[in-house]
Amino acid sequence: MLLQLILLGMAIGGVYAMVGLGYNATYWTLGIVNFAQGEFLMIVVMLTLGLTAWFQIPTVLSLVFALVIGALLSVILERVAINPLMKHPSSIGWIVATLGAGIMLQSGAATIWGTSEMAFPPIFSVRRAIHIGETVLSLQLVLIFLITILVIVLFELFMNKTLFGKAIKATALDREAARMMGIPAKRIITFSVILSAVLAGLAGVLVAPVVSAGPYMGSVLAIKGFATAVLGGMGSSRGTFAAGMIIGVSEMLTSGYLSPAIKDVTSLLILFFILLVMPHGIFGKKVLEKV
Amino acid sequence: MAELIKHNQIYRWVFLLAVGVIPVIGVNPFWVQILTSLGIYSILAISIDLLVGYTGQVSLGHSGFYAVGAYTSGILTAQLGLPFFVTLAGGILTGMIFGAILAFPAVRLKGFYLAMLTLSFAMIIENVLKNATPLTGGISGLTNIPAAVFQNLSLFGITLGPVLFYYLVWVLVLASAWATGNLVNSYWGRAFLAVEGAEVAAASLGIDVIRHKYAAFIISAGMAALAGVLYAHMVGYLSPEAFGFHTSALVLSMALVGGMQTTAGPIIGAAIFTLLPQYLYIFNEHQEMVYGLILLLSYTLMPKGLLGVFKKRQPLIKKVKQSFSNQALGMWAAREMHYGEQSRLKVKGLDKSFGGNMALCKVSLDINPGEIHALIGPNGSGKTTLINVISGVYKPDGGAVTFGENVISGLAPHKVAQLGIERTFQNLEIYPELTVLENVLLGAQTRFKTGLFANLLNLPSSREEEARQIRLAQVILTKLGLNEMQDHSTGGLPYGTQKMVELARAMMARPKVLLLDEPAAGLNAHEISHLESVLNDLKNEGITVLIIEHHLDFVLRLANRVTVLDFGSKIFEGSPALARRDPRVKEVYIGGDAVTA
Repeated sequence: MLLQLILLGMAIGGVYAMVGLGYNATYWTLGIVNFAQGEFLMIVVMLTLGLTAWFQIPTVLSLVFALVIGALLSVILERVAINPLMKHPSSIGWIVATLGAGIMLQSGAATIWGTSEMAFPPIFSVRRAIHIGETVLSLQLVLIFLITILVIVLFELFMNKTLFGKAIKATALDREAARMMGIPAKRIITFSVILSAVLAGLAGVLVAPVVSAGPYMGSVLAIKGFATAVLGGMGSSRGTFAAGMIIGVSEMLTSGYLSPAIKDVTSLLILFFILLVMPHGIFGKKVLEKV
Repeated sequence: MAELIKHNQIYRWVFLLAVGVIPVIGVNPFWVQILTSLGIYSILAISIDLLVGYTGQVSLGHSGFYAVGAYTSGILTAQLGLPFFVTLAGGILTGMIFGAILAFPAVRLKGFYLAMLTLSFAMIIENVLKNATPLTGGISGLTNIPAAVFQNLSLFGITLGPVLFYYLVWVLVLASAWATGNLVNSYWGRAFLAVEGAEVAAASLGIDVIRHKYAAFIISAGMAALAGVLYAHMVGYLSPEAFGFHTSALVLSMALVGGMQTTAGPIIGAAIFTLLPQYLYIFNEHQEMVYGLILLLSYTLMPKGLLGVFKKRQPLIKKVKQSFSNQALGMWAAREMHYGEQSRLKVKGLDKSFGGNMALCKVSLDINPGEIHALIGPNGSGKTTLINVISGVYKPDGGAVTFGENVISGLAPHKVAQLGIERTFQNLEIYPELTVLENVLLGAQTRFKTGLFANLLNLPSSREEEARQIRLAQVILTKLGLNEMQDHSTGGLPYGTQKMVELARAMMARPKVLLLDEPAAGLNAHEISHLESVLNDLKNEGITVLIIEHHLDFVLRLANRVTVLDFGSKIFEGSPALARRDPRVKEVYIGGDAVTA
């Protein structure tokens, strides 16, 4: 039971970490997070379901299309709401604007697909389970975990080895300096917004078979992803991954040993206390205000 | 349009009349209910405006406080049978307690961290409502609450039917709007705006940033809880669905669309969102979509809301009648202009480094009371760092700063300011949106003694205090030749004038020590000579000044004593005459031409 819960927690936690990395991507380039992150996650999941049903195409193919549409929507959001407000980065404007975008996506999805929850087909048609001693673990979960790790590793390689990734990191350090070094800040920002939405979408598709799909699936996952990013230290990839494991496992343990009803409260309470005690997280840096 | 809205008084009376007669002229019960909920939403929107509009703390969790108020009163009446007036007070109080709990982490956070925290707070509350079934009724809801619709709600023996309940709600709306208006049109409101605009500058004016954020958070939570209580007894049935995220988003939209930082804005916003769905099919059918669209675009299209489009910003200053004797005010101001007992500011062996970079190294200074002490040295020699350490912005790594009997190093900036050490900033920290008079009045923050309640109720004591400080501000502005522009918004003035406003603000605190960080930078020759005469006057009045300046001629004429810093170390201290001749000083100012000129 214990081992099973821990492994399950790690698989779920990996998904949270992916959502958290999505927050990091825009935090690096813009210093903000997207409050519609959960809805981007949801819309990719719903579109994958919808496209499969409407056009009778394989799930993987519709997933690709869904990710493209999600990316396009995120670019529209950036053009309409985020960019015009960059003149006053500290203002609450972009929180409100991205929030509004999220509400629109949610209500649009509810209009198209209705408000009831749907089953999401397993991405891999494997029903086998692995037996480790007395622990039974579904192969589905193991695969989710492995793919999560793969995505995160690819993401890290991209950020540290490619010119584009390095440009994003440079922009994160000093936006002005990066611009003067000839890094096209606008394109980097657009790209980070797309990256953020795609990560969220992938996370959604990975977790959907476990939590079931619906227009309102995003908000809880979004805040758990945020809790993960904050616990790890905003902007730190390693921290986010470690925090994902911590939150996922503690959630499963409270769910298993205390009550499934308070499962969601666990991560909210972790967020509450981390913001209370050390808002810069485990691996984050403290910033000094200059006058 | 601006001309039309000038007749503010008329609008106010028309509005009150409309609120008063609508139920009497026989509208049907359906509309009485709609207008009652409009009142409830108005209270919520006012509470959001106080927190988000004035102090800049984003809350996506007001549905949580709304729920706490509603369920507290609902449970107390339905399960314990307590009378309504008790549960009304109980609901507000519980809301304020929850507000204080959430404020504990919240006041230390900004931007999206704060938004996510409040959002998660509301989600925790919603989760508890759904799962604490024995107490809250869980998903199936809480029933048997005495309510206006059931004709079983009574207040002090009077049965409140829908119409009487409507009046109760609107009396409370007007009371909330009135009290909030009083509070923000006082030194409290100006402090809120200062905190919202720039926290470091606010603290340097003696404003306890954390305390003000707390106050706004708790009052706002209490008002949201009040709205919740009213909601519970309007409908008589509570279910967690009414307290989801969409309620927080809706209320935020109301305040945004109506116009933040205004009294009427939140009510107008609430009216739009409550009444439009009754008329517009599309609004009703796709409510969420429309809210979303409004949130998405409102900040880009009209950041100040509807009212902001039609109406100029009103300064946050109490309307003071002429009833306070002009002569008495003048005499009081003249008395206040005398700077009191001066204390000695001492800096001993101060060290400060930033990541291995020594900004200050064993710096000691002794500033005689009543003297002007100049601090000069090349760029990066640690001058501003020294002022930042003295004023509490940075904590020193070693050494101490004492002021009279007190050790002040390590104190928070607002504490240092409250002791009478006032500063200006190298990069000008005024509030560009505020008027000159508001900016200058902010200098007197530590001088206001009337409390929160006196200002919520606009008591005569608070009005007299405001009248006095306004008079003093006018005396200072006249002295600096700024009296003509007291109602101009500060950001639109020439740079040199803005620096003068900052100086006026610092003088307004009647400090014991004034720390000036490059007051002449960016001024033209004419402005510099004006500044010099102002500072000379201050010197004659016996104030103690520590001044950083690059215009050596100017500062050496002015100062009694000079300290020169280079690479964080003191290389010279003595009279201006000696400084002009000292070879080390000449060396750091290459060639030394400026010094001998």
